[in-house]
Amino acid sequence: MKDVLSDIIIPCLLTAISCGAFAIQFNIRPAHLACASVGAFMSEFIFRILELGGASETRCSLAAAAAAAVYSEIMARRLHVPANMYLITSIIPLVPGGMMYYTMSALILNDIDTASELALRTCGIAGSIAMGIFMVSSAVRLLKYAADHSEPVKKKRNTTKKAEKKLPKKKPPQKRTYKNMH
Amino acid sequence: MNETQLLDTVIEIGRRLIQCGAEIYRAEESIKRICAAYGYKNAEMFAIPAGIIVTVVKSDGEPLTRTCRVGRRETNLDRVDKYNSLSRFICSTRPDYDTIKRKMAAIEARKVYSTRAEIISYAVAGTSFAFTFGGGIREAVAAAVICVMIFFLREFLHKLNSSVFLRSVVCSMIASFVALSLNYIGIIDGFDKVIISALMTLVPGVAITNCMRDFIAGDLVAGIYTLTEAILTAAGIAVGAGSVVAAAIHG
Repeated sequence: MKDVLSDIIIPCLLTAISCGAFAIQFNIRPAHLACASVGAFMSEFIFRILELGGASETRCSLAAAAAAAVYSEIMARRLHVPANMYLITSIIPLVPGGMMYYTMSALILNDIDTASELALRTCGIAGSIAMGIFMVSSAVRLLKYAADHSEPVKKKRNTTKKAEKKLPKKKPPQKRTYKNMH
Repeated sequence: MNETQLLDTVIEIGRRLIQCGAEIYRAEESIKRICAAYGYKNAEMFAIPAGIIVTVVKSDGEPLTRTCRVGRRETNLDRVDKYNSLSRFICSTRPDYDTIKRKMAAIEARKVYSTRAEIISYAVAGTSFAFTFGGGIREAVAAAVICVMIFFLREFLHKLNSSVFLRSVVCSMIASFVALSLNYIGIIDGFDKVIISALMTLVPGVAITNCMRDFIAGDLVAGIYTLTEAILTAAGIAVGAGSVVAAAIHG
């Protein structure tokens, strides 16, 4: 139990504080800043929990990035702000800054083996963060498009969407609103 | 509102959106919707992070184009939000040109955080990053000091209109140099944690996120532009820190 506190909760809290402070340079208003820090806390928490469970680091990053993206899309919809406001801050804890530094430091020590291994791992993490955002944001985009243009292409949208939508988390069913028609 | 004023409005809103760190599709969408709200459904636009082109066709069939170069980008997500709401407001109420100008001036005058708050935030970020990466109290203080230095350096380089690459090279060089000096005189033991926590304030978070979102929206040119920016920033950090650390290690 003590391990959980010192290995997971405290680092996550520290991460949330640092990302919140870091996000001040993006000029996010204080109220949104708090929500964004919660996002950072969550992504770091998911990363650490999965890592504790023995998942590989790419998988942890993928899940954490996807969760951060889901969180920021939901918050953005709720509070009517651009999703970027939350997404950028929530992604910061996952950026492999330390690993990038150690890659470079191995490189200048002429330790090519370590350097190439670390470089590949860094690329893997960066790629999985990108994938996580990509999956969720694409799903949201498709849903939004389907909601806006529901009537004329209803049947077709539904079938393509099911195929695309397997991985991301559950979303409210497609709303058949007619009010946004031009 | 006549065509010239409309173009002036949409170009200015689009430019400010892109400069403040909005995705490209948001800028294009705003331009398109505002033009449509004033009856120019046939407006065509093309935006990349470096510039915008908008064309509307007047009622007598004559096309009218404005081009604008977007320079000096700085992230200000509050303004993105405000301009986004402004363009929604314009679409729903169709105000006249002076009202829009006044609202835009009000957005420009807004300042969310004072300089002092920003300095404190850099210090706090440095401190807690240092603790996260396993540093002690002395490392945390050193990281805070270096982060505040980075803040002033960034402001200075921004005023000089430097490129992103140069900015991250210079910032990471100075940060690593200070960390190595502090390590040399024995204030901190081990410089790597301090350097990492200082460099975390330079990571291109906005560029990475925007690049993904541009790619998803299908704006491949914009996505490549932003991706290049992210890679250049990361490479700049590595080059700056690497050269200083290498010089220290190899003499």
